[in-house]
Amino acid sequence: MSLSTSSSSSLNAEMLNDDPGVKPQGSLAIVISGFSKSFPATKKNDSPMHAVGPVDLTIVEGSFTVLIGPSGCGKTTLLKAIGGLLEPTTGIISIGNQTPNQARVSKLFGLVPQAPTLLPWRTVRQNVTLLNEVNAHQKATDVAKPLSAAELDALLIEVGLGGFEQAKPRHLSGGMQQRVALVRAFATGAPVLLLDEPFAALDEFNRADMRQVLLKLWAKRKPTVVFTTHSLEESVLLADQVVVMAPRPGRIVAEIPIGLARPNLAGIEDTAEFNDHVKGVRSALREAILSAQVIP
Amino acid sequence: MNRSLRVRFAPIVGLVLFFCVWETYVRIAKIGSYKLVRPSSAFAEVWRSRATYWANALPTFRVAMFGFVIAMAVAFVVASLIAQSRTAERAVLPVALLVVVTPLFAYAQAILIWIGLGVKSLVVMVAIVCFPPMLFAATNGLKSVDPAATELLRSVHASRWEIFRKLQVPTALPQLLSAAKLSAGLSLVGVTIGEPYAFAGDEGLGLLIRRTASAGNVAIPQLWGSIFVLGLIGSFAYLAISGVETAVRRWHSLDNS
Repeated sequence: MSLSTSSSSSLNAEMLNDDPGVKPQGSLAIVISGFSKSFPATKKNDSPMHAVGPVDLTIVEGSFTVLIGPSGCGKTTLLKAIGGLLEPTTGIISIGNQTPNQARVSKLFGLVPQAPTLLPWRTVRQNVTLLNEVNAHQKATDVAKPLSAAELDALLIEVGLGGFEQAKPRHLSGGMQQRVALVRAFATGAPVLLLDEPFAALDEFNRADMRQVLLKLWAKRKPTVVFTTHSLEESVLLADQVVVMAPRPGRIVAEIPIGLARPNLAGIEDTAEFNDHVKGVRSALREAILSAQVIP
Repeated sequence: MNRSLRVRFAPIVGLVLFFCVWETYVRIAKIGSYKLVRPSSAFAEVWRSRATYWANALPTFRVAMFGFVIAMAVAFVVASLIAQSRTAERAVLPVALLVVVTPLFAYAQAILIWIGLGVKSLVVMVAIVCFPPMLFAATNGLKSVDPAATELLRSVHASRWEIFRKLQVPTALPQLLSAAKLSAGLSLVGVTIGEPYAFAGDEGLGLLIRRTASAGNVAIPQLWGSIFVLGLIGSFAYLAISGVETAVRRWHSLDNS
């Protein structure tokens, strides 16, 4: 296991290229350069709140990147900026040769929010096709091609939702609702998936189950995944690279390549390799928190 | 009797009890029918003169319906516009509030002078009375969309229209229908107050009430008959909208199904 700082992000990209499980950095790499975000002051005499940055990061196409850090370190802000849902105060973010907004218009993103955010009046089937119905005049491309009805049916069966197509969300458990949210993102055929603490509200059994489901779907289709979490173990289990962030203001303090043998996670938590990675991420996190206490 | 049956029949039991207490009170207290009629007499009067009440109820119901539908449509359009802008909302809602807190009776004459005598004025009065509750409810409903759901749709570049159609309208429907139940009753208030002044025709329950009230003690049963018929129309409208509301809430997954 190696630990690098944010300044060596391109080095990390090269390191990831050596991993046979990861595609080389392709045309849809996410490149973040000098990104920062400040929010306007809420009171008249306050100064603007500097939330994140500057941040430099390169995310290789087809890789699984996990952002981890304490609350308020700007994981979600960074994720939303990548997805074109927040404008950067400074800096540039590119998805391939597109800005986040252009990528959003091209439907390159599949978003999975913290809560499943299913529309209660729609059935499971109608919920998973929701994102394909909107902005429908945007033609399907090779990189963003929505799943066909047959592919969707197969996907629903694959994640254990077969037979629940006509059920309303209220008839599903929390874990099943989150599966629907995952399928909804994969159904877009988007090459970039942004997952904002998607398993935070689930119990440990469901979490483990959902990690496995997510990894299987990812391994088969290989979208670029940016995933935020508070869980050390989760970050190590899922990631090609773990990006450790510190708060006040949010910044990257370490990028740690992981890349355990996936998607089958059975028994992996008992291996020395897994435990070494967890220790590495934990120590980087500890440093991140300490550094936040030092910086005023 | 199991719980669900008890709940289902509770309104009927309540109504029967109410009329029984009223009937008993008038009989025991020996109140003369020139002061307060027994409900049984009022029901008998409605049945006996059903053709008259029917002829008077129809124009009242038509105007109330028409004004109600116009109010609902306008409230929904205005709410859709102001739900997009905080400034527009802050500009429009005080006007609606002003309409609510000023009694219709106070400005009914002014509307008649402005628009002129006839059905048009009556419809406007009804629409004005029904408009504010539906505007408040529709605005509130359209704005109560889950921000995470809006963000989800924005992540694939949904247009404002798509967010409105797929998210805001379905979210607002239950609240709008709740307000519609209240407005259905208000529409009858508007038409009953307006009819004696609008000269919109020779028939109408508002006119009938005015005539019977001014005829003195001899017409008390007819006065109560008109009131009962108005109550029946109001209840019918309320139940019809409740039926739609129940279906929408079930579709919306707000109620068990």
